[in-house]
Amino acid sequence: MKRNAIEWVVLGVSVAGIVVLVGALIIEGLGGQRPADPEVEVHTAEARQGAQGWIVPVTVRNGGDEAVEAVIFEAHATVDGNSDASQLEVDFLPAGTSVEAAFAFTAQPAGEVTVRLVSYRVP
Amino acid sequence: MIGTRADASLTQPMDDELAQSLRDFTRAAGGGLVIGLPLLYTMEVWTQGFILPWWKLLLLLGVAYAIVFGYNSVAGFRRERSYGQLVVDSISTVGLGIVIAFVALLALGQIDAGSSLRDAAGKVALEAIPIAFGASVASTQLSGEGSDRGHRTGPFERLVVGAGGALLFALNVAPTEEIVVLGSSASPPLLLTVVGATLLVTLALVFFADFGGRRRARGEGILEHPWSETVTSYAVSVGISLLLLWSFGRTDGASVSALLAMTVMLAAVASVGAAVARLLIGGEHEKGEG
Repeated sequence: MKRNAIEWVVLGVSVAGIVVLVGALIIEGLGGQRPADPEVEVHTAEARQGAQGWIVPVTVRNGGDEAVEAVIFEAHATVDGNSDASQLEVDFLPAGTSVEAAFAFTAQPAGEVTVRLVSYRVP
Repeated sequence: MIGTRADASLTQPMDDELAQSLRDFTRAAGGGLVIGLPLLYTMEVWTQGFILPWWKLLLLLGVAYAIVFGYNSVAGFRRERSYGQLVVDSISTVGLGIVIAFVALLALGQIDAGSSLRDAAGKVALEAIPIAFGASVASTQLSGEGSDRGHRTGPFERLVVGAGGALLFALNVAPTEEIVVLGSSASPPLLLTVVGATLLVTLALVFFADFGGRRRARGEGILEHPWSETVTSYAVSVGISLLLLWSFGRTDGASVSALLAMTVMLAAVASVGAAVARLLIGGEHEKGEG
């Protein structure tokens, strides 16, 4: 049986899809088994005043090769001379994936915002 | 399944052939979406996509390919095909599932610039499975051409097709939390009732309910009797259920009784899927002799 042009195109795209998918799974799978490593990058330059306080955008990333869930971070900063805290929970954090989020404080903090990892769950 | 028409040779054979191929693939893609959409909208499937180890995802894809291949070889009887053509057709079906899954996940925003390769690949791998099944069914069963009259499917062929139906139905519930809840709250008498009810319902569905033509077993072979076919099909469904529970990590740390309960509850769904699939493929379409 001869295949026509459309069948060849679909077959070509299909083979490409399978090769890319299987290749990606194998390369990622054999690439490394580092444990989960949730990290937070604070974007102080993009911080702004919101209706309910000072908003500090952050990017949460998982530097490891394992997915984690229920990741909780706590941020501390000094606002008007007092210590102010903010909490962030990320439901799911796949390996290598980044999630955009934000901490919020009562007002613009003086000095740096420090972030620590509180806990996470291994699914 | 996906193929050309032998009778497309009237005025513009080439154009007719291309148009027919385009229709075939559009139908396959449509069938894939119909079957795949519920799981594309299921959060547990996205999360399982990045949680499951890569080799389990490959194993599931392999099982899906084997079932698509088996289904195409049994159901795709509207033209003669060689073994090689079946392999290639099945590659097209699974590949189509992968491409549709990728595009759909992009459209749903579940794959974006922030997704890692592993995250995206895992989601696509899982979502591609039901879509490939749907594409396979649409192009073999719903083509509106050809006829299965005169074609007699054997007991083994019906089991293969039943396994496909079982995997398809069970895949819809296996990743969800509900199966754990059902498994943990069921008592042994309830589970026995579920097993009995599952067997009765599937027996009635296939051999008594009279969907689309009478279905009678001839009773020639040991697997051709209604009860034996129902029981073997149930065994296949239990196997598929265990495979899925293990794949989705439900067996990790589970007690034997919890695992048994989850398997019985999932096998009920799988069995109905297998029964519907065996109805689709049909069997002996005439009054039985025995």
